[in-house]
Amino acid sequence: MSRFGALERLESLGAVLGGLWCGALFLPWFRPDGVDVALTGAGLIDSAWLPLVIVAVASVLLLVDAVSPDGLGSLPVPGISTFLMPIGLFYTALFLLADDHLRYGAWTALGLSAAAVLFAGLAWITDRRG
Amino acid sequence: MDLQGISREKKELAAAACMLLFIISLFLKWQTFGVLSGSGADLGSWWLVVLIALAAGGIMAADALGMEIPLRRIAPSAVATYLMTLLVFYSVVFILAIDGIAYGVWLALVFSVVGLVLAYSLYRQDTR
Repeated sequence: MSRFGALERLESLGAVLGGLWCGALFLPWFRPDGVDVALTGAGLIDSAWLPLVIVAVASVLLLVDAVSPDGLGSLPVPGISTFLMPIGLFYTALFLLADDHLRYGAWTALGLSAAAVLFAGLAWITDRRG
Repeated sequence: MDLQGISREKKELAAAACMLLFIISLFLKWQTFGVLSGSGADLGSWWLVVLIALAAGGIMAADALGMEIPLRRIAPSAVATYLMTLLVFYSVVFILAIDGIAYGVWLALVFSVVGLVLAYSLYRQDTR
């Protein structure tokens, strides 16, 4: 019998969306007036790797918990990921609200991070480990 | 430092004060480059961080003063702890990103971390 129940589906969706957010960091987020090249989310500040690592860890944990036969044991993965995933949304919102010259990458990142937070949160509610 | 000897109300008021000091530190010097300088409020979305600090500090102060907080399923200390985590993240991201770091960003980090430690100790107390 397949172990892929509601929790695993929610975890997988959260993991994929979190992973896509990491990719969206490398899309064009801004193009200020008079500049030919757009800035990516990762190129905005030198420490963009920090939210990238945090969201990547949350996504990998969710994915491993979803696909491994026994999950990650007693580790409350959805709870940990629900704690970590909003960091990506916060980072996106910080820069989205800071500038007017937005490009599609910033909106894509906003949608992906909000959806990743939603599915991680739903997995946390579904999970019985706490 | 033993936080268990401090009363709940004192911890909450201290955490709320830390949030107030964090907001003040946003308007201090965060970066210097030659004769120019920048503050934590130079980023266009600084008001978002102020709102988060006000919410976290407000929750702590309201609980200390015995006011009803309209949160049913989640402990107020959990919400405040999470919001303060975002403020620590904000400070760390800028410390790692900017050259010519000035005292304001260090103060912001200290106040957000102290607030977080106090809020987290209350959260641990609430979930025991």
